[in-house]
Amino acid sequence: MSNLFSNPGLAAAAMACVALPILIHILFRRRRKPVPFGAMRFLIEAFRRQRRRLKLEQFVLLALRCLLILLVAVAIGRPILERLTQATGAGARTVVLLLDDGITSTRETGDGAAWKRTQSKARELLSDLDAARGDRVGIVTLGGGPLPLIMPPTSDIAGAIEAVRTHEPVDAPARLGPSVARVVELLSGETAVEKVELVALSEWLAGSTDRGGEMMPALPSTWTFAASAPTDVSSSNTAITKFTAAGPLLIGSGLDATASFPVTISLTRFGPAVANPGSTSVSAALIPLALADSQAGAEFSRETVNWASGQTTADVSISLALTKAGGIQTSGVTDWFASVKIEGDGDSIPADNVRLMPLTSREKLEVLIIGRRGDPANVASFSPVDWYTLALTPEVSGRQRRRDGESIRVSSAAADSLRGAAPTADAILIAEPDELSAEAWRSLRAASDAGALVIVSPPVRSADQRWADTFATAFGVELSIARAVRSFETPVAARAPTTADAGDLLKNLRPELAELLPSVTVSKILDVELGRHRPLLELANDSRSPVMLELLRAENRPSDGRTILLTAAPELSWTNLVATPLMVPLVQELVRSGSVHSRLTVVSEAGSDAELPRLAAEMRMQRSRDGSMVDGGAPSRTMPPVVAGIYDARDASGQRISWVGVQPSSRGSNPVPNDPRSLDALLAPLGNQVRWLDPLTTGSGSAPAEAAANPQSEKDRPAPSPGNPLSFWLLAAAVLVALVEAVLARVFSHASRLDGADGGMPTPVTGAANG
Amino acid sequence: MATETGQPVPPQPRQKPPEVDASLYLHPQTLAKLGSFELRAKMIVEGLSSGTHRSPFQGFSIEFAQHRPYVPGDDLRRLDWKVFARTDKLQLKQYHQETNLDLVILVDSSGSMLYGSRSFEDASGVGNKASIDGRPTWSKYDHATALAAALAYITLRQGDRVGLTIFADGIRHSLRRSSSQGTWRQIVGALATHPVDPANSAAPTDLRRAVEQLLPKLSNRCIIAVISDFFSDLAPLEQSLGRIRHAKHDLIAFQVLDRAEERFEFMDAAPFVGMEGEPALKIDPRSLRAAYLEAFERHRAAVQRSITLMGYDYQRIGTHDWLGPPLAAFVARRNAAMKRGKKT
Repeated sequence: MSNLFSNPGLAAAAMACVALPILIHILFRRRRKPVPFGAMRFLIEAFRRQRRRLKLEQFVLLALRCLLILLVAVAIGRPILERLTQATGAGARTVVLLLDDGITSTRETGDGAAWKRTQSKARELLSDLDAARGDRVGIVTLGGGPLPLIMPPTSDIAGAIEAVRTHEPVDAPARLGPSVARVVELLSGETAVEKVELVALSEWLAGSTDRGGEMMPALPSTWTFAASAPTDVSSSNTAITKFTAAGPLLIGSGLDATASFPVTISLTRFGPAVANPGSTSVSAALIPLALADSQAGAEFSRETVNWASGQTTADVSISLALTKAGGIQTSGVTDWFASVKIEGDGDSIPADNVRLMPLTSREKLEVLIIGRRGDPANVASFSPVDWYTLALTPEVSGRQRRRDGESIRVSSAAADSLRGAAPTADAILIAEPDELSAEAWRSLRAASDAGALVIVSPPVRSADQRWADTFATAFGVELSIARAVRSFETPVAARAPTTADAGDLLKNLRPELAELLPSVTVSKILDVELGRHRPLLELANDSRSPVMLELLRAENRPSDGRTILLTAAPELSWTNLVATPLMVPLVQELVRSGSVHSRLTVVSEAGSDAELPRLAAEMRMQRSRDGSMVDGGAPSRTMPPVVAGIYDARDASGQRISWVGVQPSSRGSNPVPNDPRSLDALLAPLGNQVRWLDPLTTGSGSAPAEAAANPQSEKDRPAPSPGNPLSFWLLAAAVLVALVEAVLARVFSHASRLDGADGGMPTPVTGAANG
Repeated sequence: MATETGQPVPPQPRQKPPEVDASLYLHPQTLAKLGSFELRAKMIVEGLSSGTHRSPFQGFSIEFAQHRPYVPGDDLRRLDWKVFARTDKLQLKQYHQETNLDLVILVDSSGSMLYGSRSFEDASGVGNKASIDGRPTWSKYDHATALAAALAYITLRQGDRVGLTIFADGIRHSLRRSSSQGTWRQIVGALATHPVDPANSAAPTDLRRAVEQLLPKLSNRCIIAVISDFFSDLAPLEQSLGRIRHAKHDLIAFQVLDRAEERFEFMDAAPFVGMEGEPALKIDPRSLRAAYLEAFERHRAAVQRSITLMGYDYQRIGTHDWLGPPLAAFVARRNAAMKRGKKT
């Protein structure tokens, strides 16, 4: 309907009026008051003779009246049947605006923000359209990918102008290729739109164009592509491109007034200012997430970066000061966010000057060990569960060390107790995998998807290794594992892997590894083919069989929990690791580093869903990009979010999964004009369908090479016609039908015979006797 | 009240006995118009007395009965010159045993006679807004009643006997022929107390049966005035006329029609309901008007033709028309026919 009419709602309502004659006919038949009549016998006789003719006449009249209303309805709806309007010389247009609302569109130059100019140009183009002629418009924004603002195209030009006026730029980079592909996909099924004018409005800065290998699709031959010419107005910008904390998980019994946490902030400079020295002020603070007025109580730590000439990147370490001013209560607070701001000269894109990162403090890590305990009195009878427990809660002279005892809480469970819901522990250590059912493995997978660390080691009491297949299937990992355990006559030493990709799990333990690892030997091992997985420890022989490896799923997400496989069970008959000094720091480091994602925090980039939690079904913004609180948590319009801020990620059941810090895109912060040749290369698939408009930003506005070959100007557009000729002809037809109906109604009803004063009066006849 | 047929009297509606107001049925203006005419018998009636009417038994008795005012057309030989000499007024002497003209009035009270489109207030002429039984319209029966009263009044003024029969699918009520004082009041009362019964309004006109019941009661030749819409089949009508002709009675047929029936100027589609049990018909009246008028006029013409072919008189009377002019014209035409009859 909307493809056929300029005013589809009006047309639908008017067409519904076709039912009026029928309704009137039915209602009047029911509600007419009966008329008693004396000469009924003559009326019945007349009716019997005229019945067939009357029915035909009534049908003809009813059909004419319905046709009359239908014609008026269609005329009111202003049909935009392109073929017809073209035949009458009108030439309705279908225009799809591609608006760059990416982070570079917020660039401030001498004459205001680029987005304002984009809005102005879009309004100008939309004003040229004429809904009465059948023109339609669709709008797709490029920031964060293909996001249809108005699609399919509509004739509501005023609505489109209002949509552009109220739209705000996003923090994601522009993606032209996927957006055009999406438009082609959406309109390919529409038979009414054979000719489409794509108009892309952007400054085509370096940060605006695709650099991720996303190509432009070919357009249908009847389509055209017009774009604002790339600007040559350059500007400088300093952006926060990376922000890393020691970890998103802060373990402790509470954050006191003296607490501070180191973070590293990476800055990048773009534009002409790079050639000159300069300085950028960096400030950061740790603020409770629930604190409404964060700015009032924030106590920012400050550092200054002094740029040398030609320097483009800089890292600055800064300690986050706990926000404590203004009587902020921090005891019991577990959810925080770090706010980092930069300020300096020559900064044309303010959107990338702020970064927010959610942080969580936890009093204890919950560790669940699955398996049976051995004899606690006899070291030789210790089971892997005993060794794990001892490593996580070591005793010194019969007393637990207080700090570790407070930070990790260990519990154990039998394998057959795992049923139904996923365990909620931060880390799950599986010592008896052969005892787990398929259902238990699925529960563990769910826990892993929620961010839990899972460490699996071979069973000690059984030689059956078929559990590995169930495990690999449930966790979605490709795992080639031996069916039998291999024993060494002489224990083989273990060592750190020699490959470069050792991951970050044992990063903090590397100095201790170098010292303590040589004493570790392995007597039995379950051979595993490394494949694409990441080794953490391996045998120090030629086989280089992995002793400990991190399993990587085919589709791995940063929010997924990590999975570690020990090929030598933590038991004395397999390895002496459990009895060496390395055991305690190794297990504890694995648990601490590996469980940081567990239901805690995730950092992602605007417009990217690669880092989002796998189970996230809804994202609600809690803090906007400037750190202010959003009342009620506004659901993100897009998935993934394209606006920076701190979001509350929830699963399909509405349960919170984690806090997600959505950062401004680091790819889109480059405000330097693009190389016209790279733009040519990007638009190469469109061939001669491209034509160039004036640039958005005032400047020389050199169009790329194609511009010369396609000199058509936007001024060449045909002038809008004053009205819709199809509607005119429909109205004319309606008038004709009305006349025919009036004449036929008069003829059929014999109304003309009623005109005379004595129309039906029979002449008195006298008797014959008067002769 | 006894009936001539001896049949039980139909149940009378329990309502206040009407105080018969002659003006309700006989408009004063109508009477004034009719007063200048006398109803002349078309034929020589067999009677016990001779008088105004030509009789084969002339001269049997010339017993003075009364004087009455002279009206133009009266025989000058019957003027009482002595009275003229004394009072300077023209008076006519009347005698008993003049030949009586027995007038039998047959009034149709079938269902279709209840129809009327004229307002009662307009038609009655005396300000009554509704009929005695509450109808706001002036029905054909009301018009027939007025006509019957007029005929009876004129006839009784001549000293002739008048009888009344109200019929529908048979005789519903009868009054013996009489010329006595108070006969006119009885006739008007009977007409008023025996209107068309709405509860029995489905009864169609059956003139043949009514005539069959009436004729055995008429021992002498009479003039029969039938007042009806004649909305019935032609065959029974012609059979009735034949029976009357065979009995050598004279007949005057008054076809009472309503203007709405004659013109059928209904504009709005509506269900039309018959008044004699016909099925309802949902129609657009404009679309059927031509066919209706054709059927209506064809039937009316056939009725007229049947009546005139028998040698009887036919007169159409519209309920919207003033009762005087058609009656006056009718009487004038009757007189002319009488004169022709004298010559022959």
